[in-house]
Amino acid sequence: MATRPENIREQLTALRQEYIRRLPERLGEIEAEWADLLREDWDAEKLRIMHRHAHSLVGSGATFGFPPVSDSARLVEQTLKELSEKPRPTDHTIENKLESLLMELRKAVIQASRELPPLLLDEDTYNDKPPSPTGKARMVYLVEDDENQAEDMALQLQHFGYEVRIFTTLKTLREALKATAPDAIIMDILMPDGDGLSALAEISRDIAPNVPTLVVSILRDFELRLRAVRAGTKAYLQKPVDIGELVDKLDHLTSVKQADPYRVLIIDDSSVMTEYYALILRHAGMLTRTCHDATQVMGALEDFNVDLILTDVYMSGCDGFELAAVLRQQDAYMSVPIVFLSTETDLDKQLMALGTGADEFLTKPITPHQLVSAVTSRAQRARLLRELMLHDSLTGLLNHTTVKERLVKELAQALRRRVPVSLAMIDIDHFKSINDRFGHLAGDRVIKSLAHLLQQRLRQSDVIGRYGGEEFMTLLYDTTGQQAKVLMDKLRDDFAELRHQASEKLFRATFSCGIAAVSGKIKASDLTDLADRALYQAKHKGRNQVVLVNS
Amino acid sequence: MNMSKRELKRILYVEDEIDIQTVAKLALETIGGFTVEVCDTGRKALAVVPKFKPDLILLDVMMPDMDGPTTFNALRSQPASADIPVIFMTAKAQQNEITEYKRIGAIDVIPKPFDPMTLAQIVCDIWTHHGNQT
Repeated sequence: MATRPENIREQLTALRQEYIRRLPERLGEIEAEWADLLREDWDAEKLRIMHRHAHSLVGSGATFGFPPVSDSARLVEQTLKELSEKPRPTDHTIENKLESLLMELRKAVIQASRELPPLLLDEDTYNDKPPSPTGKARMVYLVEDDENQAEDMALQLQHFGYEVRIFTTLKTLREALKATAPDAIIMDILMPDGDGLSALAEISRDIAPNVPTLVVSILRDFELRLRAVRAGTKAYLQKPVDIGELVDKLDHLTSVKQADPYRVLIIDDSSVMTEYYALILRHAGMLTRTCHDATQVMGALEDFNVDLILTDVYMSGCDGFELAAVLRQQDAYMSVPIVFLSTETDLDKQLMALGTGADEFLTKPITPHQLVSAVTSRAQRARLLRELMLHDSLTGLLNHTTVKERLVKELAQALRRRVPVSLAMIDIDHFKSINDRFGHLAGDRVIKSLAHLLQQRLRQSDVIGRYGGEEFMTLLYDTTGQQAKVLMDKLRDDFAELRHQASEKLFRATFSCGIAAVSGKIKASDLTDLADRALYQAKHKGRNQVVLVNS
Repeated sequence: MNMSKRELKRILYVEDEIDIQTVAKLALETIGGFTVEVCDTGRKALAVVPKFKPDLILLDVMMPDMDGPTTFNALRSQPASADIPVIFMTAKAQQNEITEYKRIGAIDVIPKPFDPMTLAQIVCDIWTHHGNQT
């Protein structure tokens, strides 16, 4: 026998995790079918389908190492069989029995999913090489017959996380497109072996219809721009190309910006229910925290940065309405959406909930799909609003006030978890003279490109803010001073290589950086002062360098 | 028919549940070293058998559309598969059921859920045992 136990164990583990991941969805299906049966007409066909679904869990559960899932699904299956053999019973004994069996099955599913590795933000790492926000480098085909220009542009784009393949003829491009489609095509329309625009029209019609195309050209007449639009191109950039503008366009066209996962606090005095909702939301990629006692909610909210609160209505100690009122009286939670989840079908009560500050009222039982979409749409809107309040409009980074607030929170958390943090203050060198020489628009672009670079190269868990005009602050969590210095030095080198553009001229900019590292208790303002002093030293020593101080 | 002389190489697994299909295929191929083909309905199994020419068929009992026993009878009635040994796979596996499947002609019954690490061995044992009997 060809036995390779190591190999098969690994594969089985992977299959098993995939199985666990899908379990809640399958359970949700069964539960929704049951709710449907109870609500609508008792239908033999529906019973049969539900029976099949339960049956498949019987067979698969223990195969993947979860005998309790099989066992409890088997009981559900048997009871369903009983039910399907005669007309709907007039008393509710069997139905009640099935309800409690479903609850047992749910517990078994929850138990099984504890084995999944948790989704943690803390797991993400620094990108030593410029990454794409999606984790996978985005591929750009650059079609340009001037090799020097092409290589130069490729290098610049690489700093922003793009992988670039250069083509100097249309023929080689066509061949490559047939093999693999890139995330975007950038083309100089004056090519030696043909007209770039006709080629693009053909490409977007026949060869790679879904790939966005951008045109770069030295020509500036309207006729050409019109032809470019007709060829289906998404952007037309004048040469020499402003790399900041190009990256902006590319980001926009290729981006699936990896969103920070939604953070949801779930309050219900039944721990089975909280765990179950948490499970569904986690599987949809959200971060959850659960709380079984409404009176403990303030503690649970602490340093969680909650996006949305999901709460039951009837709880001992403090009901959902009171909870909403308590939260709404505090500035910090005034705008956090609160969603009530309850078996309440009384419209008056629902209206009353909305009056006390609840945003939505969901009725149990709810399918995983309904829950996820209700939570997602609320959280998304709340975030958009908060986004506008908390972020700097030019760069999209946190604004001054917010970055200072976050600093306090992150320091407290770092202290509790006993991890080192480093605070880096970054200031663009000679920014005033950039503005004077090249104009404010060019200055803004320099600021944007540095913001871009920071966002792409630092981790999601790092705090990045625009602290002042040309000054940036980043807090690197769980990072020692040495690590921070290496990282910032690399960023400094890469930033210095970027070329910025002002009308016809190209110029470079540099930055200075001061880092203060801490691995104990320190006040946020003291840490900021230290980093400021380090920054001053870096400037004083001649700029374009990183200075590290330890607290 | 003398099974003991024939080596078990090709197995057809008829199972509608995708998770089980994947695990069974992995277990039988990687651990058992068999060549495995999977079908998700009895109807497809009937079509696949003449081309795939399995040495053995593993047949799930409870499937929508055509269940295990129905598929079994259909397999028996078409010449290409009339003589291929069949093992039933079932999640119920009560004794009277096992006896019934054997009575209609299954060489054995494997209860589900099975352990992926030992499935290949169990199939091998049944095969050898069956070969010695006939």
